[in-house]
Amino acid sequence: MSWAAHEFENYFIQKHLGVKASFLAICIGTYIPDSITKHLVYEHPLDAAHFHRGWPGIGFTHSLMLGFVIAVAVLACTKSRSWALGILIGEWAHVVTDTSDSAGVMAFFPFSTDNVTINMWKHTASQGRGGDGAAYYSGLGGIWDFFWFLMVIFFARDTLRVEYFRRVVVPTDPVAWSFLKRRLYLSDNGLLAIYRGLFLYGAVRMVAWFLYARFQVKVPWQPVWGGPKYVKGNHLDHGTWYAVTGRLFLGAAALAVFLYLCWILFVRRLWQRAAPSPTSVALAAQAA
Amino acid sequence: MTEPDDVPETDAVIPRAAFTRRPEHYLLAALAYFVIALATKTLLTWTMALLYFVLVLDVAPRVVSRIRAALVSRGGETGR
Repeated sequence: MSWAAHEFENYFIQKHLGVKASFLAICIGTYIPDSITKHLVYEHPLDAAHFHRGWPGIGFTHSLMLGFVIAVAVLACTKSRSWALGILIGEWAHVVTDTSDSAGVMAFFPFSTDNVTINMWKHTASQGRGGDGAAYYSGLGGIWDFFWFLMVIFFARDTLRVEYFRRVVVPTDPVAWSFLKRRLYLSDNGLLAIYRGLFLYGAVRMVAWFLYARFQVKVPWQPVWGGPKYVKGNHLDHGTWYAVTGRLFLGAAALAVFLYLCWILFVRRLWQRAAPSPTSVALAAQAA
Repeated sequence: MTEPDDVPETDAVIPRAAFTRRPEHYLLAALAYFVIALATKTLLTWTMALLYFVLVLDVAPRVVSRIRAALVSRGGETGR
């Protein structure tokens, strides 16, 4: 699991999707997998990693299929392409990022219950929240967060500007932002605080947890592949690597076929029925 | 990839003047959040963090300016 990368990725995705996707939908998509599961994981008495990422368990929350199902449901209910696309990309970004820890994710569930992992850092949910955070910021997890922080600062810092917010983010999703403004009695400064707040939260969280690991619990900093070495990581063993790779390949192929069939049978019709965002229409008219 | 300049000004639903908080306000708010997180040894969840930033950058300044305006108007009335 990632502790701050999920926050930073939202701005990077927003930069590249622009008016095609709602920023709020990207954020919700990014938070869907852990919002359902995170508090349950640390309280799980036996095998937190298997419960979090395995089957049987709630590992399906970290699958590409869940993002697809929710995005299609959103497309059918709201008829909003920018919301459906935002949810899909946000959830998929979370799944891809979480392949980096030792537990991995069941990316191709239900066609494969094997976990995809590159084992970059250890999944240590069994250590409880404090131990998990300390271990994450003692291995390459913290470096990964910092990498995404720099990616936003160097390649997507325009997304943090007022001009970007008022001319791209809000016009792409005017209904949701005006709903927030009305319901929460916010001024436009409050809307911008919500938009930028996620980035500030990620930045502060990254630094604070790093300091917690170094000076509070005083665990060693071991930013090596598969680290940190001082703690035992959680692995979900499914057998030999070639058997797992074979099953994952079949699962990926089956998922691809399933998504294609869904697109042909009904998702394409839902997509065509849904309206593009007002800003993308204006941009298309401007280009013409 | 969409740049802000690509989007016509007519599509901007919020006027530029509506945003009165400057970057230094955000930096101070983040710094204060960092100090609170370290001092209390609790790291707020993202929902609480957003609530904090909204309170500090929007609600609190509005309340303060209203109180200040009320005091000024009361002072004016007393002066008359």
